[in-house]
Amino acid sequence: MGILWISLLARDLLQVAFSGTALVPDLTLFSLIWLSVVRCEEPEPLFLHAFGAGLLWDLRWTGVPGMTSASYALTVAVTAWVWSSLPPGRRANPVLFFFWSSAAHVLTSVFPAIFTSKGLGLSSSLATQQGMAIACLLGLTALYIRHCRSHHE
Amino acid sequence: MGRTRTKRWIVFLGTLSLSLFLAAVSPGSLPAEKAMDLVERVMAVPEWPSRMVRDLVVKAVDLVAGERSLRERIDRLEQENLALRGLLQTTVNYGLGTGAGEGHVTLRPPTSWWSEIRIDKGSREGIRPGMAVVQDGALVGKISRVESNFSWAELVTSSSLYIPVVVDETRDLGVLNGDGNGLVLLLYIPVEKDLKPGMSVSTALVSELLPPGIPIGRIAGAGEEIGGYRLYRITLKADLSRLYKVKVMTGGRS
Repeated sequence: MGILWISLLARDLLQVAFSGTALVPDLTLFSLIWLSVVRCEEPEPLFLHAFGAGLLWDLRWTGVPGMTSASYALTVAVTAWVWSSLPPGRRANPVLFFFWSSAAHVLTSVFPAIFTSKGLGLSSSLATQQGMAIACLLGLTALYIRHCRSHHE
Repeated sequence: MGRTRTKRWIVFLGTLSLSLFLAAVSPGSLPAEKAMDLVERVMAVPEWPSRMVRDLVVKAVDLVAGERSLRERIDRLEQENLALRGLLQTTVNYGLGTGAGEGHVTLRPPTSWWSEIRIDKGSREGIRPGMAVVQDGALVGKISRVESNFSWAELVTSSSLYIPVVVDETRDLGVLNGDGNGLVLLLYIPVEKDLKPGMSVSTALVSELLPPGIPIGRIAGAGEEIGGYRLYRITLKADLSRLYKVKVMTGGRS
């Protein structure tokens, strides 16, 4: 679970470094998706960590405590449900992993804008963030392929 | 298997409902603000290297582009300009003071988007309540609360901030007030005064911390008439939709 908190800290530090320039991709969400996929059969402890990480982010950056934690809890629940519903032989699907993570990132990034109806003016920043997220996700998908192969062997 | 699934549902629904409850109840509440301030204070320690790197990069870019000396010159001229404008309007001596401290906006709560921002400069940098906050020389608000390493500024669009202003072309005095939704109005101008769109508005004598003569914006058009006075809509000079960096005018007399 340490990976989740490290990714939260990394995102926070990057957001401080890039403040006023760009929105940093949601690295915490990527860790949550990774952990939900790997632990899809027993995701219960993940919910509490997702809640805590989301709440901390909200208190530091969004100013609406509970908004990010709600989207994180939903992401963990749906990801774990989808992966546990797949037959074990089909879980090691990097294409599904990539598109699932991308969709989750788009939805959770747009969610605050819809929720507050104040972030729509940030559309260009959001587009840049999505572009950087895709680059990160390609790397994460490569790691996922490696992880699946090592576990298969 | 069934018990595990039930436990999973309970934990999921518990965290989700608690999150939604917090999102519905906490924005704008005092405990939430205290919690946000606490997190800001705690996170300032691990974020210090990031802040240092960012400032170093900005300084390096400034140096490379040769803008640093120009910016300092502009700051100095802005200060001189303000002091001279102040002398024209009042006998209070604002002086040049210590200058303007630049700060980054670290939080702009969506629920009070047009009301307040938090910046990463506090009493340690000489910030005091009432000081003017400007963006590219135009007023964006006033410092409302100060902690040691950060402070909150109330924006000109806030419905609870009233700023005495002067119409530069006619020298008519009025009061600027926001509606809390992004609009800014000029109040208390008698109906017989025919102010034209495009006339500029700047701060009048308010306090010894908020100097007169800081540009605010231009008259966009006349509004409704209330009790012999006409409201005027103001277009702000500052771009509040792109509020990333601001300057706090620390040049006032305490």
